[in-house]
Amino acid sequence: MDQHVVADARRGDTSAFEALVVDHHQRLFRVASGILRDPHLAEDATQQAFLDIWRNLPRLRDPAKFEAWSYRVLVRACHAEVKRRPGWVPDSDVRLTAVPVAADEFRAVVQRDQLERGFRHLSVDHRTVIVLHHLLDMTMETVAETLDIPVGTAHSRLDRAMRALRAAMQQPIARTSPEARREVAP
Amino acid sequence: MSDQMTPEVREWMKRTEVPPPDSRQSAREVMDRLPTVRRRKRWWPFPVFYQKPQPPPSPSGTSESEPGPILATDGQIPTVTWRTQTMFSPAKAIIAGALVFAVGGAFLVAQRFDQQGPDLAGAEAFEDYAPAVAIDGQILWIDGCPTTPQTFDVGDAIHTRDFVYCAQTLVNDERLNGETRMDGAWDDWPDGAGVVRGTFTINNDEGTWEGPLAGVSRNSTQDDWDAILMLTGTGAYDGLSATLFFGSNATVQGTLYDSRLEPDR
Repeated sequence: MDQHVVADARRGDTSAFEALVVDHHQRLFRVASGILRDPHLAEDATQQAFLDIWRNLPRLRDPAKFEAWSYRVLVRACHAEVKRRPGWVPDSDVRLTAVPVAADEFRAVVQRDQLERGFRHLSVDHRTVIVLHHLLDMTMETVAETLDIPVGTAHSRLDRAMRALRAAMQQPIARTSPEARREVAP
Repeated sequence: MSDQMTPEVREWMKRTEVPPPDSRQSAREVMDRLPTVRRRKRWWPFPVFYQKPQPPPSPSGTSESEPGPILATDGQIPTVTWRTQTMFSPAKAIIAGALVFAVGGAFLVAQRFDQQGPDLAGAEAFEDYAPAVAIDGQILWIDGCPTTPQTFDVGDAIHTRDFVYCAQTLVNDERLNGETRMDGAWDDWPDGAGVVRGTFTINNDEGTWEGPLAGVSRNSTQDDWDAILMLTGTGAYDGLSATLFFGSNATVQGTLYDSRLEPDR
């Protein structure tokens, strides 16, 4: 990351800021999409995060910390996005389908659907830890440093989130979609 | 147990990733909205202690973006012998502050020495005061405490009232160990801010410690917070106070001391 660009944007250079947006958009969108499970909400949250970054950039003392700081701004934008749309349903490509499929494939689809549902019931903070650790492959120490929380808190969030996902996975398939199950039954 | 889930979750997350929209288009949309955003001023009013990284020198020895030095008429590079930096220096400011503090402190100490002697009121009584103890330990939350918190929204804020938590305090001074209870209320906001207020009580066979608590959370799930307790002893602990600081990692630190030495007395 070019600290000159961050320093210039901090001073109010809009062309430097535009370069920052182009450079970091994909990185932040990836995290927002992982947290919100909806590309439209993720894009809204990412753009809002960039506006918040522009607003608060003069308060960032060390440009070297821009990347971690921008993740925290993004997580706040995701919080706001969820709050603004109570009862939202993630628009995921992976949906339980009524089209007959092979049993193993069907099981995999059901499994992903259960994960999706379990994930949706997690708080944004818990989802964030899962995304940073499992999608971006950050170590837990880096996750804690990025989110500015103690390592123990990061571990407890991940543990709690994984337990919730495991509970969601253990729900019987019949409860997920009886109709779809009937279609693949022999 | 969670380890068994890890490969499945990783595979699911990576398989369901969606391609990002065009970054340049997104940047244009962000830039269009930029004039509506009012920038905040920085909290730190002084120059940042950040050394701007120097760009790599070009092969000719000068930066491509910056012109080289202007040669003097005799062909030499002119040497500036007077001030080349801003008049403000953080180091100078700190040294100046320390000097002011030291000089002021010396005056105060001198005045204090003048007042010392047999006539100083209460001087002898200090020997009777209970010695202060530095407290270090844990507050371990336990299940099974009856609680029926009320939660309701007011605007953006979520108010929680009448919560009760039970715990066991286990520190390096037995006088503070015992069954612990925290009654109170908290408010939290979606951006992660939160405040908690309440009453903290520790009971054991010898007496009771009770006092207010005030804390702040750092996230909306309330699992990352710090609080301060100002406890007053009764029973065998009458005349003693304890000011403690504890946080979500369950550690507690503070001081147990004679109540006559409360700073506000």
